[in-house]
Amino acid sequence: MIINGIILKIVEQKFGNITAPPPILWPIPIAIGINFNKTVLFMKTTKSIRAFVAISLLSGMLFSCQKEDLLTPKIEEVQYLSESDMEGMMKLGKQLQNPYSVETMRVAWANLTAGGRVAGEDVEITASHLYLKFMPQTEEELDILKTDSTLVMYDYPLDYEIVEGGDFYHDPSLPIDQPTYQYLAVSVDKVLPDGVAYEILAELFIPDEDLDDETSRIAGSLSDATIMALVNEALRITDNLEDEGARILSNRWTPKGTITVWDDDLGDQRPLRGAIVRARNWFTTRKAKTNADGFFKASKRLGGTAKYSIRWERYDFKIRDKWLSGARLTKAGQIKGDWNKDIVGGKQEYYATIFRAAEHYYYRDINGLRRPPQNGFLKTQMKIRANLEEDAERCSDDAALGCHKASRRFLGLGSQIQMYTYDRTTQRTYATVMHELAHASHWRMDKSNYNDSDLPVVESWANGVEWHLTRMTYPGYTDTFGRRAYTGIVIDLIDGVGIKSSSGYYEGDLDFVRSFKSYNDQVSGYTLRQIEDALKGQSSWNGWKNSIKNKYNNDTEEFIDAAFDYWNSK
Amino acid sequence: MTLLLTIGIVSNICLYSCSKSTVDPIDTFFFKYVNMSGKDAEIVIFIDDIEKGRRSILNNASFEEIFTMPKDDNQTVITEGDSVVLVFEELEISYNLTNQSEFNILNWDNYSYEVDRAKREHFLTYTFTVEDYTVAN
Repeated sequence: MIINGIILKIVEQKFGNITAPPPILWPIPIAIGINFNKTVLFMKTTKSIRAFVAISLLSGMLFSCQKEDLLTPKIEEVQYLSESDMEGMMKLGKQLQNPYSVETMRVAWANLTAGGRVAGEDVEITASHLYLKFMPQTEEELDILKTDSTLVMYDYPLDYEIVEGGDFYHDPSLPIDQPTYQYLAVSVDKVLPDGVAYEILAELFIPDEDLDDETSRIAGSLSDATIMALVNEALRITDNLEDEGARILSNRWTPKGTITVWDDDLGDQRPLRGAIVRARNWFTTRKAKTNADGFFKASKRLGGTAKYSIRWERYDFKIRDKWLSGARLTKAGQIKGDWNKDIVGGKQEYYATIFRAAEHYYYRDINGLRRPPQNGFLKTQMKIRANLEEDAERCSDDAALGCHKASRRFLGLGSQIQMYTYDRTTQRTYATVMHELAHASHWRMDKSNYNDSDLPVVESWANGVEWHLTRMTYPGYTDTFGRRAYTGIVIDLIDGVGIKSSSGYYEGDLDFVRSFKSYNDQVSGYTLRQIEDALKGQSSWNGWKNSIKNKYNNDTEEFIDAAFDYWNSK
Repeated sequence: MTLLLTIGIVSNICLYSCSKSTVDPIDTFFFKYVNMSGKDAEIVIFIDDIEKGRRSILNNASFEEIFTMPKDDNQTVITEGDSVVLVFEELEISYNLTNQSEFNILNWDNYSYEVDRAKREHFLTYTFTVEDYTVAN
C-alpha cells in the first residue's frame, strides 16, 4: 500500500499551488476528456479532495495486485548517488566563461570597433538563442521534452570543462529517482513544451551558428570575416582562445566519421547503424545518423573544435545506465576532424549491442511484424536498462537474462525492459533484446489478452521472434527450448519438418524439470506475421492453436495439434 | 465527478498495474562425463549430419562441459547434437534423438541428476561403463 502514501504525499505537496496534475493522474484526462490546462479542476472544493483521497485509496488497492511492480521505489527515502554509483560518470571541471553570451559579444564587438578592426559594418547584438536548463521533476516531464525531437538536449551543463567523458551523467545534487537536468540552446523564437520548469541560464548571440546558410543570417549583414573576428575576440576575452585556437573561415569543417562495434560471435568489428552522432562546439550541435556502414556526415560545417558524442537512444527507445540516466558515449577531448571509433569491450560495447538490436526491431526489416511500443503524444519512450548481471534481483530472485514489465512504462519510475547480459556474448545480448521487445510488442498489440495469457503463449511467441529476428543478423543462431514455457512451437510452425527434442519442461516458478522427449515435427510454411496475427485476441494455448488453424490454409495444418500437444506436454 | 474520476483511474491503472511481468531466467547445466569403460573413447557430435565437435576421453578420466538455457555461445555441447557417434578404440556406435537405449547420451534422462533449485544449477553425470562398450561391440 505504499502507493497510497505516494499519492497522498503528492496531494499534500501540490495541493496549495497546483500548476499541473500529478503525473500519476495523467490518464484521467484521457479517460474523461478533461483539459488539464485549467488547474482549478482538481482541488476546487473540499468535496473534490475527499473524492480524490478516496480514489487514491482505491488506486492503491489496485496497484497492490502486483507486489513487485511500481511499488519498489520508496519516495519517502530520498536517495542520492553514492560514490560507487558515480563510477563511470562524467566528471566536470570548472565553469568556463561563456563567449557567446550577449554581454560578452557586445564587449567583443566594442573592442573590434574601438580597435578599428571593422569598418563600415554594424550589428545590433541581441539574443539569438537562449541557453536553457530544463528541470524535469519526473520521468513523465522528461518524456514531454523527448516528444519534441528538435530539442538537442544534453544532461550536463554546456559551459563547463569536461575532465572525463564517462558513460552517463546525473547531477549529484538530485535524488536518484529524479531525472537529471537537461541543458540546451534554442533559438529565441522556439516554442517550448508546456509543463516542464526551466531556467534561462544565459541569453546568447551565436553569429557563426548559421554561417553556411545564406538565407537566414543571425549576424545580419556582417561579412563572414567580421563574424570570425567577433567570435575570436569573444573567445579571447573569455580565455577560451588558447584552448580552441583562432577560427579561420577556410578552416570550417564538416563533422564525419565511422563508428563500429565489436561482435564476439562474428569475430569482427560491425558497423553501428542508426546511431545519432553529435558534434558540439559550445552551443552549436551538428548531428548525423550513421548509415549501414557506420558512416556519418553532418550536413553543416562547424567553426571550432567539437566534442563528439552518441546518446544511446532514438526517438522511440532509450538505453539507460544507472537510475534514470541515459547511457552515452562521449569522445575524450575536443577535436577538429573525423571521429572514427571502434567500440571494443566494456559497457560501451554492451550499450552498442543493445542499441543494434533495438534499432533493428524498431526501424529495420522485420518481415512485416508489428513494432514495439512507440513514442509520441501521451506515450513514452521505451526504456531499456542495461544492468550488470549481479543486478538481476531487480527482476527476480533468480539469475536472469532479462525481464519485461509493462507496468514500468506507466509511471516511468522504471524501465519497461531490464537487461542482464553484460557478461554474455554479443549474440546472446542481441537475442535477449529481441525477446524482451517481442514481449513489449505483444503487449502493445493486445494488452488485455497479453495480461491474461498463459505463460507458454507469451514465452513461446517471444522465443519465436527472438529466433527469427536474431537469425537475420546471425544466420546460424540456434537456441534450446523447454516444454510448457520457452517452447519451440513458433519455430516448428515456420521451419521444415524433422525430429525435434527437448530435455525437459517448466513448471511452477519456471522450474526446469528434466524429462527428455522428442517428436516428429511435420508442420511448416507459416509466416511469423501469420502467427502474430493469430495471436491477437488469444490468451490460451489452445485458443492460439485454433486461431492459426481457422485463419489460414496450410498443407501441414493436420499436424498442428501434434506440435502444440508436444510442446505443452510434461 | 467522483464516478467519472473513479472510472478513469480504475480503467487506466488496472490496465498497467496488473499487467503481466515476464522474467527470463537462466538455468545452468553442468555435464560431467566419466569413462570407466576400460577403453579410451571419443564422442563425435552431429547436427543435420554435419560434424559439430569431438570430445576425447581417456579411460579412467573425465571431462566437464557447461551449458546454459538460454544458450550463450556458439560451442555445441554433446547433448545439443541430433546424433552422436561413440568410438571405443576400434568399435563405434551411433545414437540419435529417437533412440530409446539407456546408453544414449543424447537423452538427459540417462544421466545421474542433481539440482540446486535456488541457484537454478543442474548437475548431470554420465559414466561410461563396460556395458557401454559391450553394447557397441
